[in-house]
Amino acid sequence: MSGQRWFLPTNTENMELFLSNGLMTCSDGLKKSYIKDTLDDCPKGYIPFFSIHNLLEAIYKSTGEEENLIKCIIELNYSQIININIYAEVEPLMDSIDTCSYIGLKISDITELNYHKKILIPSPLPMQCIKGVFFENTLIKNEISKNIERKFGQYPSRFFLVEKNLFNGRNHKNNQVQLEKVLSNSNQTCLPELDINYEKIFSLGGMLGLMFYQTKNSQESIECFVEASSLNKIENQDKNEFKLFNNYFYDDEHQNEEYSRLCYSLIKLISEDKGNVGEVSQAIIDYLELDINYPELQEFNKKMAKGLRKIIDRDKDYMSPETVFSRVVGFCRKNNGSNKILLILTMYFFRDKPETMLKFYHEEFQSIDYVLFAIFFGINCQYIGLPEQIKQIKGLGYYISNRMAEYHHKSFIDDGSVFKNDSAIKFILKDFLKESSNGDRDKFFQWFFDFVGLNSNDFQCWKMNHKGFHCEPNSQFTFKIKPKVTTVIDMTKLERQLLLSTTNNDKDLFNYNEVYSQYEKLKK
Amino acid sequence: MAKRIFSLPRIDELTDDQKKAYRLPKYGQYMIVGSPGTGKSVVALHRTEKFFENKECFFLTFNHVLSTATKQLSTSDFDCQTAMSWFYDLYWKLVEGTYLNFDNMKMPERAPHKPDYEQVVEKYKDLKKDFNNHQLVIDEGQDLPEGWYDCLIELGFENFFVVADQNQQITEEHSSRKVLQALLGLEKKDVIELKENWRNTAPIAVFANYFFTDKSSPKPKLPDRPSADIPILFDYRTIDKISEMILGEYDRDPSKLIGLVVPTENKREWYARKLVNDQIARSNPQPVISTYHYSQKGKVNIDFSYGGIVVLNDKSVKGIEFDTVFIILDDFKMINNDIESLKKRFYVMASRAREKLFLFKNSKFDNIVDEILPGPVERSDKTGEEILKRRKI
Repeated sequence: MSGQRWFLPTNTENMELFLSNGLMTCSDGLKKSYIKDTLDDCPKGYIPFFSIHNLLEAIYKSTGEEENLIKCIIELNYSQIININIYAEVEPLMDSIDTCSYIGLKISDITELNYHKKILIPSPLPMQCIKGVFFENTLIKNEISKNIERKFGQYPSRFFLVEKNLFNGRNHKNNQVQLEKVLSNSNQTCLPELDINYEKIFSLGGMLGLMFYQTKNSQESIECFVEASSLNKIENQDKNEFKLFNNYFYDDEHQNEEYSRLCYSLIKLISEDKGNVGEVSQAIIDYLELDINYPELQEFNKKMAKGLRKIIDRDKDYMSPETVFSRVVGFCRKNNGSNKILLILTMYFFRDKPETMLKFYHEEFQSIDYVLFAIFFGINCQYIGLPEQIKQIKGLGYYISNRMAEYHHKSFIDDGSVFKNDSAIKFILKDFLKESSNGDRDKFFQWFFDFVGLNSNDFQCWKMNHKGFHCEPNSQFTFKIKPKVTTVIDMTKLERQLLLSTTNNDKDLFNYNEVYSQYEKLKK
Repeated sequence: MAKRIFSLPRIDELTDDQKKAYRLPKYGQYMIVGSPGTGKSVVALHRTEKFFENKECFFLTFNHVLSTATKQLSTSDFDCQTAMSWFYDLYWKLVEGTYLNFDNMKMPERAPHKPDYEQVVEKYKDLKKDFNNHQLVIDEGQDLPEGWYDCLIELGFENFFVVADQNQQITEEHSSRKVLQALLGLEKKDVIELKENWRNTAPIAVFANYFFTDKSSPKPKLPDRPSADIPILFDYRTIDKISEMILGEYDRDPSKLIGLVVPTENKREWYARKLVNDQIARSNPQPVISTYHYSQKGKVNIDFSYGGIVVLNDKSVKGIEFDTVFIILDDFKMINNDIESLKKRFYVMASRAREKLFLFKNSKFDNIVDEILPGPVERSDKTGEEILKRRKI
């Protein structure tokens, strides 16, 4: 028997904030922009969903804070959830308090809940759990959906819908819940309040977004992205800072080494501080100038603080960013590539927006440096602050949303996944551009190299595997059988040139969607 | 030249009062009032994008620079013009003017470019037009005279969303808040006051508020945008240091739009030339240097969606904002010992800067501006930070 539909009535501003954050959350996740709706009545850390017979009160609350708010109703797509405990509201037992009037169930039981009026699901939920958003009439739907699509890009055609009966109470039923049909009241449970670290969840989303953008640069950046999105603590890695930054998400704060502790603390600072790059700068300098935490790094930290302050104060010994970075890279090299935190902070003080950081090129930077910049800026800007062009990369928004929600819930399950993950995001350097191919992608290669402004002669050639080669006097070649032509790309050369051509220009951010659509069109 | 981050803020980034204004119903008469930098135009544009995509909506600005910036910022296809040009165009269309009947059909005027609104109202009475399904969004509505509104009401316009700042009436024929409320029949609930500085960082807002002189309204509330970039006053010895600093600032992030504000017309042209003629090689290609004076009217050559440097006289900066602002203090004069007027000019100039603000003063000469600037160790009561840092270059 298929289960009933479950809905979250809210207003369009909260709904838009879910889309901006890339997650459906409890009220805490909407921070200070939250507008009171039915989430407010719910135990902390849960999202309520209502049956079609029980929507009216929740709809009324969704615009209760101000008369000009616009109602909308989000329908839950529970088929996207694999493994999570949910809670169905039941009539409270005598003398029990409200938070005890729930029974715990597995998500797989949801199809059996034909008589319940309300369920609670632990927050957060990924965007794939939104089946659709309903409006009261076509006029409102068109205005809101057009406005949203202008900001967030295209949504599937059946995402924004009109269903008047959801709003007008035609489906409303006041009859008592016949709970006994399914489950006994004797299993009633108290819901513990859940403290959710949304800063970390959203920072993970910001980090993955900017890291994905950098996957156009190198195989190394793809490997880092894949590793970070696997949502695991890294134990052994030769890329020290990458490991330290990644492990921030897995509470790896008890580091013995001072440098590791410093990196952890700075990441924590930029993740939890609400401001943007320009606004957090002062907090970083103040932190570095404190000498109580790092006796061994005291001098290094003070020098860093002094250097960073010079950048802000437009010191009279002004140097261009290129010169400053050359010196910093030189310093890092002297320290065998360690202490890259100085390089990252210097970028942070020169560029105050992710977009402009992603466009900064320096010939002495290594591929991993671009990854580290992306991580640092991404943690600070969080998912909501990602450039729209990145959020709109085909499939990426849903993928990151899935990873953010999975990151939070996976610590509560033994193994497996909490949500379905059908995402198939593509990496240009791995899935489209191959070191060796049989010529079926040549049209795409030609288009792509033109698109990024590269001369393919520098890194592309063709090899023929043939038998029976014979050279005629008039220079014609004859083969006994049709030779096999293989397109060969020198990936190392290509990577370096691609990084330069897609970074060092005054154009918009690199357009992944254009590459995806041309690949589909031009591949054989 | 690099792409600038130039887009409308997200709704969740607006202040509570801005959100209230954003939520106002599609049709009706409303007025949003607030000091410079409180984000009135942003709300007007957001609201227009939300509701209107067609030719029934007109977004009218007071000057050409604002109109240009609005068009570049918008992602929708609504009609954006200066209020007066639109008024003249509308009249010409309604009376079916052609070059053959120009003398009979031209706009009745009391003086050049000053319509005779009483005559226009009479003309419109005869036309019996009804524009009640149209929407007018009017930025800087206080700078338009009462008669302008009378004419439109006569044509049946009913939907007005007026954005105004009664402390910034720069025309002789302006409308006070009281008059606008009466004209549009606004009740208290139809008027929303924006009280919080929304444009600047907290250090820049603190510095700008230092020059706030209006006794009839409170200073705009400081924004919750702390920053390490406290305004800096550079004492310079040679003039080359100024261009070196400005071009260096561009070079460190060419996506930023920098405003250089000077006190006189001569200085505007001189600095624009000096910056253009600088041939020192830097990391990035030479920036686009543009300059504008209000007499250029519709020929606004500033591209707000790219980084660059714009040189302006302080009288032309109203309504514009830059990522970074440099102000040349030399040659500012106090006229008739009117210190209040000088402070007003500084309030407007300083509040143009979104992120960074720098001032230049020649170290060899005394400057009248010293009298109004914060002292060397003066700190803000609100933030505890220095109000103005000082450096010698």
